Amino acid sequence: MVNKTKYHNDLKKDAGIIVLVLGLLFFSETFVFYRIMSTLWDAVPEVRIIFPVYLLFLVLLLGIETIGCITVYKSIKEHMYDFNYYD
Amino acid sequence: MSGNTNSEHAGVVKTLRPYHVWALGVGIVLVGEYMGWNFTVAKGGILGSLFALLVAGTMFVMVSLCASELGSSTKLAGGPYDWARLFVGPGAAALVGLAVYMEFIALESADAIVVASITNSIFPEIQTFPVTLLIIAFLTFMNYRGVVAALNLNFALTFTALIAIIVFFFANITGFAGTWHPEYLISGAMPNGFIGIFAALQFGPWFYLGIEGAAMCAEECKHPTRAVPLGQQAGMITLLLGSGMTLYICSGLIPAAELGTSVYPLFEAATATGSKYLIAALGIGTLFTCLASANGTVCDASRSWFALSRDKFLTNWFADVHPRYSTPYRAVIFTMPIAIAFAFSGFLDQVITFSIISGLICYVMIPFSLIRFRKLFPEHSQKVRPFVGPMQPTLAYITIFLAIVIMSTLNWGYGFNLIFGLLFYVIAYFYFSWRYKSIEINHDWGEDLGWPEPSHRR
Repeated sequence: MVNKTKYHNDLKKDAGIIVLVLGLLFFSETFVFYRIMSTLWDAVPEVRIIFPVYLLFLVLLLGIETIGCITVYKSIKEHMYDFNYYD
Repeated sequence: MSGNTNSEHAGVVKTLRPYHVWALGVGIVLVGEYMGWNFTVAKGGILGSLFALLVAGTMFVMVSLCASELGSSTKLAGGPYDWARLFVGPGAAALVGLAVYMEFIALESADAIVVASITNSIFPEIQTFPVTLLIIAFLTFMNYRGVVAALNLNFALTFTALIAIIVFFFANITGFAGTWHPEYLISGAMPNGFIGIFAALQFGPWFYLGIEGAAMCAEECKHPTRAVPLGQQAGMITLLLGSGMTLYICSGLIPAAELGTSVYPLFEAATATGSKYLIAALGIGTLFTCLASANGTVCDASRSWFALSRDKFLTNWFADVHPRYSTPYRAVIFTMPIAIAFAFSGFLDQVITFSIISGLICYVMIPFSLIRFRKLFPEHSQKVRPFVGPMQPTLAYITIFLAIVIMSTLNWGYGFNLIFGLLFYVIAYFYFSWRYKSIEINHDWGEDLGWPEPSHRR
């Protein structure tokens, strides 16, 4: 018999870890991106031309990683009873 | 051909958890934050390095999603080799096996060169090359004897090195460790113009090279359908964190001209702060990651060579397992002359370039294996595909495109290396395809993986 309370608590722990590291990733990547771009914005005029390309890849990187993490969470939730993940 | 890459894995206890998968992937790759990535600065300045970080990061996020789906579905230790073997074909499998071998052996040589350079900077009377040889010999001996304890130690070494980066980053942005110089960024923003920024892509993979190796422990995981995707994504996020923090710290603490040629940039950035604690922490971190990475790469490279030998792509002589230590000892010993040959060049960028070319071959073949997998087995059942990656196979096609674009940028400065590397793999592909024709193969999807027949045979 599966202990559903334990399963839900452990699933929350998995989700918590994912949210924590994703939060740290969003903070650090946007911070680094902002500091480098803002430092060079006025001093290097070419930055304005290529900025959209940088922004596109930043959004792609963070977006795909976030979607990937949500998919992992959904997959664990869907299969946790079938494969007895938390026993 | 058997489903297992290594007879050592047959009947192993399935105990590994997501943090083990994380540690295996990050353990091999974290060294990329400590050295090698900074050649992006030499090509394209700080803007080139940031561009390489973002583009290569996007590609590797997609590669790790492909690896998560393939690894949690097949649950085999061979990783990219097994995926190509099952879903593409024998020539491609041997090609990937050889590329994984070369990628990791070149990485081992690069690690050994850096450790020897650090030793030389501390003790100038000691020559670099003999120390490089000694390190390669020592690591080969450790892997000859068995690697379980060594890999456990690797986890501790890697974690220490990661904490050193995070502490350094937060100490710097809060003003406790050195002054961050905006003028260094401005003077070294884009020394070679737009072409330089694009050319910097060639060293971008070094931030994350080898993360796909995390899925190679799927066979030994307690719950591979949970451990592989979770551990792989956590590992990828860790590397993205580490790479961003490293670029930020180094770009503001070391002038770009020096940063682009440094052998150990993070250690030099710590030296620039003047903090004894940070210098010690980052010095130890550099040493630890190099040793941990080199040790892991000897392990993975020898298993790849062993698999090629066991599946008769090479002489069967390498497939022997040591009666006492249960290691593929001949394959392990054979890593040594190849690693020494790479190290003999003494040029870190040349060694890194060959490792990157080999890695990029894998990053074309991994998503291609996923595309083939989805064609052969379109159903999303618990048995065949327990983890369904998002937006596939679209992401797989984009990954292949980005890998080819990054490979093409090697034309700037490393054109001959690129031509030689590709020629080497093309010859290898035709050789292995020819050799494979003489082998009798009986592959049964039901028996090997418990799967139904592929869609085109039903």
